[in-house]
Amino acid sequence: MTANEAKLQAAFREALELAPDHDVTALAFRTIRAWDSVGHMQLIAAIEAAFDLMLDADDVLALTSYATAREIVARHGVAL
Amino acid sequence: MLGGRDDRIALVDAATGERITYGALRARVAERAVALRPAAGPAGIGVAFAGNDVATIVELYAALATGVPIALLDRQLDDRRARAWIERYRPEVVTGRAFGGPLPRGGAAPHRDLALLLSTSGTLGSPRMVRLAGAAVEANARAIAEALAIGPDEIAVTSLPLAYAYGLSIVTSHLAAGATVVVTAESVVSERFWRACRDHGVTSLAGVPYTYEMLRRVELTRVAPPTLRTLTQAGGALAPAQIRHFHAIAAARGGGLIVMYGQTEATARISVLPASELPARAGAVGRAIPGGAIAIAPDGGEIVFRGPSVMMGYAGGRDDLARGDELGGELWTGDRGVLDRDGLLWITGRSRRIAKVFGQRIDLDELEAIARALAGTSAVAAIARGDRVRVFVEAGSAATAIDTRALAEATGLHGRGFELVELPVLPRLASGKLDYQALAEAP
Repeated sequence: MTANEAKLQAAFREALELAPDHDVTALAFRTIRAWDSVGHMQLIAAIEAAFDLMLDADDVLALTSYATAREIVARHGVAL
Repeated sequence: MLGGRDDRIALVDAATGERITYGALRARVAERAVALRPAAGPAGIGVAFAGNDVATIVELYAALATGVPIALLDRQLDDRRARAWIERYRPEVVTGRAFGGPLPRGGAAPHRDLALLLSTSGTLGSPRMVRLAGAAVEANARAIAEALAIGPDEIAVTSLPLAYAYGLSIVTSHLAAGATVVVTAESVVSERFWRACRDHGVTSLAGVPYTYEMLRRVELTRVAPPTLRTLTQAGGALAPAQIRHFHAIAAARGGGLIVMYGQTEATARISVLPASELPARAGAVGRAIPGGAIAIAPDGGEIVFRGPSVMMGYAGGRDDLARGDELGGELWTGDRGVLDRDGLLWITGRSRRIAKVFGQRIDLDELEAIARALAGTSAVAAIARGDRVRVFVEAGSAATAIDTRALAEATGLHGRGFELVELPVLPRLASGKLDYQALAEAP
């Protein structure tokens, strides 16, 4: 796993208050209780802070799973 | 309570695309009512673990139609709290959630006027409920429809939980007016929510301050369909700059932002600021809804509301449901305010210790009790700080099993809504009571 991928996973765990060994790669919006609309806003903020980027409105709506989060940060120039 | 002609659309189920006419809804409600009455027995009550779905709405209207008092609890409530509630109220009918094994049921006969029980603390799952008469629910629905000039062509969407008084009032006011409600469990940060709004031509959207924070982030003007022209806001103070921002967006579409003030204790809404008062009066919460009156107590400035939608009183368990009206239509709100020379109400303070964590109401005194149990010490204090809660714990307290995750688990709220601060000793007044003023000023 690259350092950036680890960073992305850490952002998920931090924002959604998951245990350090929680596998986040299969997560999707509203599949766990913590990832509700409030958790979503926390997650957006955590990803922005982790990679020092600004997600736009389309990103906020499109980021519905770990997989789409990967695509979105990659589109913002983060090498995973 | 269902005000539309039989051939008009009452509900649209966004999940399936099904369009349910008032005629079809009346039939479903009648069918459920036939089963509900015998299930509840002559003196029974029901509880619906409410989700934003058609079944919850049918259950509510069936209960109102048959006179079986019904409690609405959020389906997200954790199992322990849900069971604790059931042990206290012993409902004869439980819907919206499955429990393994038999549940305690049966108790005191409810008062004949009682129709609806709503929780004020929401997610904390306090067993305290607001007792509402059927006449109050109906009066509030009609008053809101009138104040907001909801006509049969309006199309609302369930943007807030139905177990929450404001979320419920979206449904009751629109159905009283013969309008349409798009029923969805999605939230405003979901593309599916906006697809439903576009597909079904939603004309109005209701939100609490946190909803509006999210709407800024997803850029309302980009996601909202052109049909959306009315925004309503209640559930706490939205900053005047935000009020102007969202009013300008709605006004550009030929509508406006309508700011309201309400309490569950008054069924839902107490006052309405017409959009025509914006942007000049950003920050005011308007005038009493039709049929209601607002007065400010000369001593202390507390807002007193009189009207047909005022609750009968509180309940802490099944026995209390036998009690009649204890307020006589007069509600001391616990909030302070002033009326300006045009009769507009401005809230100046909230005397109840209620905080909002990411838009959810939480009672700070209840939270302190939870934190005390976790920390194993009584030296705990909670204060609101922005949209978070700061929990102070005296350092060196015995087994401090308390951390933000434990608080989140115990309250069902997000851990990031809490900030834990350890102090060597908590500041206290001469009386020995916690000095909340000093705590508020702590760095």
